[in-house]
Amino acid sequence: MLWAGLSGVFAPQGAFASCSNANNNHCYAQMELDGISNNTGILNNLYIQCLYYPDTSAFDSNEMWDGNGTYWVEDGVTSGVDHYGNYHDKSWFWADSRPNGGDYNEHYNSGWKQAVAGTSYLEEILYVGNDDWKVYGANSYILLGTSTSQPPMSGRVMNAGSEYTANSNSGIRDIGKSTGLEYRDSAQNWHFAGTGGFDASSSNNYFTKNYDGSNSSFTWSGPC
Amino acid sequence: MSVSTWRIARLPRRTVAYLAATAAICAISLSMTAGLSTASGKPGFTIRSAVLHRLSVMSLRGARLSGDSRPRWIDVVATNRAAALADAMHGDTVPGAAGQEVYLIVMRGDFTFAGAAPPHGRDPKGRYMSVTLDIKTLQTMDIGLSNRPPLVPLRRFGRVYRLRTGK
Repeated sequence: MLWAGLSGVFAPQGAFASCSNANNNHCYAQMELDGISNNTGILNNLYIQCLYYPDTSAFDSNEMWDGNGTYWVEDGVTSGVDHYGNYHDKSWFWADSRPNGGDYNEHYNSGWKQAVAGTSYLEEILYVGNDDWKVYGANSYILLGTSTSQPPMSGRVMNAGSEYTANSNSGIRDIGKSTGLEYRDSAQNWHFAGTGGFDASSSNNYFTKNYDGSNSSFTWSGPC
Repeated sequence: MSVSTWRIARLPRRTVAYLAATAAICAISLSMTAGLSTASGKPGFTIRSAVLHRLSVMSLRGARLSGDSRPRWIDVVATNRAAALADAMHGDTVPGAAGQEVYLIVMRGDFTFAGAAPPHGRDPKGRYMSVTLDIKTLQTMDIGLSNRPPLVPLRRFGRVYRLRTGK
């Protein structure tokens, strides 16, 4: 997820928890499952209790990722200002990084209704063959787009949670939950993250978090 | 009643309506061809100077926040989103994109999307940054970063404008 990440530069130091000086001023409150070989999809139930960021140079997104750190597909909801000065209020988006010169791309759509606080959404990224991955989500589980020229690969990781670029005194509001995060293997069988999943939040994040392997759920709680 | 009006008056109503509609379409087509329209920017149309100024400001902000405040050049053309995705963003697809009119902005520089990667991932870098903005609202639709230029020259979509780069 692209965007400014300038908040750390201007943030007062000391009195407030900070997102600065790590991960390019990005904080991650998120769970992870490593070492998934050639998976063909992931899905997650994203519950947004509150998600807001003021109209300044930062953002806060609740989302999931499927990839290997270099190439990936992501799908979620974001609030904040993008690089071009446009404000997004709980807007659905998806993005990918593709090999062979496809590089990084991020997509929005005015036709995708904004997410509503207090609501749970099913989001899914599915391999459909021919190096294409379909991305589903939004308020009525619709097709958001297709990541093309994205071959399955080994050593993949799936993550779900919150990414934000703002300090605790910024006006950020974010409480949410990912439930039932699972992946689909190459034989198209689904597997929950289960006890293999873990809290992989960045050290600079200041949210309260908990990963529960019994139901593959991850909760995060920031200001709200 | 003049002779010509009288003659038209004797034609069946349906024929008169058809002739009127044809004349209107011809008039619109002529104005488009002559570049006289100052519409906000449908594919192939002229882009107003006020819109160009706003696009320039937005582009320079995007360039600065992507690590290069002085890109070598910034070009913009009005087209549809599907064409922009296929050409400048090398193939991602979004439902309904063919019917969405956008400004496609492409700039050349040395860009980095700091923090765009997942946790532990590498920040994307590239020489060509592309963005599509909704033609009516200027809302961001797509943002792309690549080391490859667009697959076909932007002039294929219509008149290309070079925006102020700050250099």
